[in-house]
Formats: sequence, C-alpha cells, structure tokens
Amino acid sequence: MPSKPDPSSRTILLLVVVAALLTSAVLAPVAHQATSGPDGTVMVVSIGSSISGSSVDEAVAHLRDARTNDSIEAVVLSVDSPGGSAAQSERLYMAVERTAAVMPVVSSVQGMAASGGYYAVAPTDRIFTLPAAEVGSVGVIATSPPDTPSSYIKSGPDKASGRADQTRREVEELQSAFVESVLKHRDLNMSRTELEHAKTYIGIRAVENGLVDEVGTTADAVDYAANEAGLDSYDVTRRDASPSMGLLLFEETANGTVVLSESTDSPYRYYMTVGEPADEVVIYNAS
Amino acid sequence: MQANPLRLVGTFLLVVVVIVGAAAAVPLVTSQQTPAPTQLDNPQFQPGNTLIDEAPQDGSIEMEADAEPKTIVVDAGHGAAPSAKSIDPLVSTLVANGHTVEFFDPQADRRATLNDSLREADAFLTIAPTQRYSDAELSGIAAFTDAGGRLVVLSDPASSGGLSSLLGGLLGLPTASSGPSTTHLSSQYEMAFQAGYLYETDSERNYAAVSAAGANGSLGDGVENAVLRDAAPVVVGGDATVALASADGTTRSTTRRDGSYAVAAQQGNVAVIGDSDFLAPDDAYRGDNEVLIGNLADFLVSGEKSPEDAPTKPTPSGPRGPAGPSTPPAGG
Repeated sequence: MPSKPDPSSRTILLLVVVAALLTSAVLAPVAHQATSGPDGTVMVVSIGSSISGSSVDEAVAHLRDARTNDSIEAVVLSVDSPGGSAAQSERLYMAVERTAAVMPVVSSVQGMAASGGYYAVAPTDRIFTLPAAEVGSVGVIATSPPDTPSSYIKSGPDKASGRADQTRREVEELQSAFVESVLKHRDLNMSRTELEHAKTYIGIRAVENGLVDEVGTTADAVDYAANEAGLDSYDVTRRDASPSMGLLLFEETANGTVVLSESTDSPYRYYMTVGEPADEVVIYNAS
Repeated sequence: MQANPLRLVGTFLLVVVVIVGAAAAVPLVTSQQTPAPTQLDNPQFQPGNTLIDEAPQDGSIEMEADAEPKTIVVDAGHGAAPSAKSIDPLVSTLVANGHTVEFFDPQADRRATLNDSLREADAFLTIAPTQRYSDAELSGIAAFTDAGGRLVVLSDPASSGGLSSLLGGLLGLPTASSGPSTTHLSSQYEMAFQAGYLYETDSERNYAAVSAAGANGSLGDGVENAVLRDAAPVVVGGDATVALASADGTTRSTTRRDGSYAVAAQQGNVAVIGDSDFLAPDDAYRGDNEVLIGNLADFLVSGEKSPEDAPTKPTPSGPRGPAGPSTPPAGG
C-alpha cells in the first residue's frame, strides 16, 4: 500500500516546479531569440554633402564600428556627394577599402558620386546607382598658389606663397594616384584617357562604361550585401555621416538676398570635387 | 540553534571571492584581442610610382649677333597689357643684344597713337589683345609691314577666338563677321588663330601643356620640344608656312579630335604664335622654349624697313577691319 506523500515533500516538489517555471520564463525568450532572430545586421552609412574633415570623421568612426562589432555582417554606403577635399577623400577611400577587406561593402548612389564622392565608392564590392544620378569626375582641382604677401617678413622664398609649376605637378601626381585607385578596383569599358578627362556621367551611362555595376536603389544594395554576407534574415541599422555644423553666417548679397551659409573646413589647396572648391556652403537662400 | 558568526563571515567571504574571481576569470578565457588593422596594399600611393621628376630648366636664350640695333614696340594697349615681368626673358634678351624695347601705352600718354610709335619702330609685337584695332591702326600696321616692318602676334585661348576678328582684316583669313577679305593683306598673310585650346592627356605634364617642334621657317629652327601652355591652334593658307606643330596625339578642345596642330606660322615679315605663356620667366627655360624665344627675338630684329618712317601718315578709315562682333572662324 503506497504510503501517503509527506506534506513537506509535496511542498518541495511544488517549489521545484515553480522554480523551473520561473527559470524557463527567463531562458525561453533567449532560446527563442537564438533560433528565430536575424542572422546579423547590415549597416547603412549615409554619406551626403561635401567631403570634409568632419564628415569623414563620422564615416570613418561608423566603418570602424562595423569592423569591430560582431553583429554587423555587411555595410552599404548610401552616397550623395560631389566630393570635397582631396586628402579627406583619400582618407575615406582607405577606410572603405579597409572595411571591404573584411566584410561585404556595397554602394548605392543616390544623386551624385562625383570626384571624391566616387573615390569613396570605387573600392566597394558592387555599386548600384539611380539612372539619373551623376557619377565620375575622376580628377583633381587646385586653387592657384597665393602671391607672396608683401606685408610680412618670411623665413624663406616659398613661405606663404607658391609656384604654379609645383601646384600643376602635384595636381598631376594626385590625379595619377586617383586614376590608379579607380583602375585597381574597377574593370572599365573605357580608356584611361577618357577616364582622365574627368567627365561626369549619368547613372545609365556609368553602368555601360563600368564606373558602376547596375541600376538599383538602396534596398537592392542592402539585399545584395546581405546575400554576400550569407544572411538569410537580417536587421538594418542606419548611420549618418553628416559633417558637424560649422559656423553659420547670415549674409546679405548685393541684390538684397539673405543667405544663410555654413563655413566649411579651413581651405585646402587640393580638392576632388565636381565643381569649383567652395569654402562655404549655402544652406538657405531667401531669394 | 545559533549560527556560528565565524562560519557566517567565512561563507560570506567565500561567496564573494568565488563570484568576483569568476567575473575576473571569464573575460581572460573568452575575450578576444583587438584585431590588427587590415594592411592595405596601395602601390599607387608610393612615391616611386606616383611622383613626377621635375624637368630641369637649363639652357640660355641666344640671339644671332650680327643684327643692327633695332626698335621693337610692344603693344600695351588694346587690352593686351603685357607686364614687363611676364615677358622679361624676351625683353632682357633684346636689350642685352643692343636693341630697344618700347611699350605703346595709350593709358600713360593719351596723345600717343600706335602709328606714331610704329613710325619709330622696326618691329611690332602684340600679345593677346582683347580690344579691336581701329581701321586707322590696321591701315598703319599694314603700311608698316608692307615697308618691311616685322609683326608678331601672340595669342592665348582666352583671346584667340576674338583675335581673328580683331586682326582678321589684318591677318587676312575671312571671319564670319567680316566676310571674305578683299584686301591685298589677305593674300599676303593668310594666317589666323582658331578658337579653343590644345591639350595632351598622355604626358606627365598637366594636360594643357603641349609639346611642339619646329616645322618650317626660322621660328622653329632647332626647336624639338617647346612646351606651350594653353596653346591655340593656328590655321594657315596660301604661302604661309607652319613654323611649329604640336606632337601627334594633341587634341583640340572644341572638336576633341586628335592630331598634330599648327601652333605657330610665319609668312614674310609676319608671324603668329598661339601661345604667350612660354615667354614668362617660369616657362622660358622649359623644354626648348629658350630656343624658341631666341628665334622670336631674331625674327623681330631681322627686318629691313623701307621707308624707315612707315607708316608715313595716318590713313583715313578704310575698308579694313571688321565692324561687327567678333566671331571665331569656322573650321576644325
């Protein structure tokens, strides 16, 4: 005849069950997450406006996060930039190249990837573009060397002045490195000479001449990057590499128009930009 | 039953040591070292692959020694305004060889006329003028060259499109605004500048600097590699000869066609060169530019003007010279 359970044993059994339930309640979501969550994350880094020291600081930090964060499996650069400082464009190029060496990096050209803006996307694994985006302008532009200021006493003949000949030669040297960088990463359907003309092409033409790979949106780029990283399911995290706001200036132009402009970095000598180098960007025009 | 206080303290310390020790030990086992940055292989940034050797600038500007002392007038009016500094190598060479260089500057002396200056001159040099010469001045220049005075017109692309009109009646190639020229000068000179500039992308120099070599005529003697920046192409007809031609592979900006282009031409007493930068101190000794400058100096002082006071008097306005807006000549 079975003995009647001891009341204290029942209590212990009940406590064990309750403890198991509580433990399961804590561990079950973790187990569920482990089996049903995304395989990883695709980081989308937006690079807009002109390429300056502060915008590249941001972009480089985001790319470093992507390389060091285990959950980030791929990066998409969403680019809309006319270029900017030559040195900062090179710095961004190297950060992108370093990231592309350890994970899939894909580009999506929004409106423009020209000059330094194209330098940034050149080393990526695949470049998507909108049909009407502007791509190319692989070239260098420099401000003329200043004349010798007469009101200063200088330690040497080239202090605070320059010779056009040196600037011309250095433009050629920077251009050579820029062109070689593009040729290193891109299999172009145009001659080096045509590339050196530094023309800007619409997206469709850029697909044909090999500056980009195909027409597509950022969604296409994210999907491609995730596939390259072997992610069946993924999260997307977005980062912005906008330059920090510089000094805002209210100016009144000759015709009475009020313009709000933002001063950019200190003027450099060499630029990789689709237009003339500017030391300020007009962000509001009350005309 | 009362708990032993020592046992309680011991239990407390044991629990703390185990937990804190585990917290310290787990990272030692599981942590990863910061990965070393990926080494980038970018030979395009290595100095040996990218830097351009600076071309030596040597040589000296030489002139033939047997020319009599001559007077060369340089036009500083008509928007040309060459500074003495910008053409110093040529001026210094002429002066050092016993010749006189005068600048015609109507701003400095409002009573001065070009024809007065030409009457005293053996040669007239004008560099990229931007304002039209009056009919009287064009007639004066024509009489000056008819008498054996030397005329040299230098251009740069900024003014070359208009130069053919400014001097179209003088140099003699018809322009869109002047129509076919009927002056005897047109059959005499038949040289003009074309619009646009020449460039060369395949050299180590900046694309806007082209290499030119002597073809025919004294200006190109001994010139194998003149380096001309922003050179305008020159078109010749009739008996005019190409004095300097750009290397094969030169492209004209307006047509984007490759080839060898005339960049200097001469006929009799008149010469045109589609560039003026080669006279600047920075460029005077680049390539064979010093040879070209020497040839130009010789050309300026090699004329024999007769009568010596030509143009004898200001000529009333004649048919020479376009009156309409300047238009570059057609052609490619």
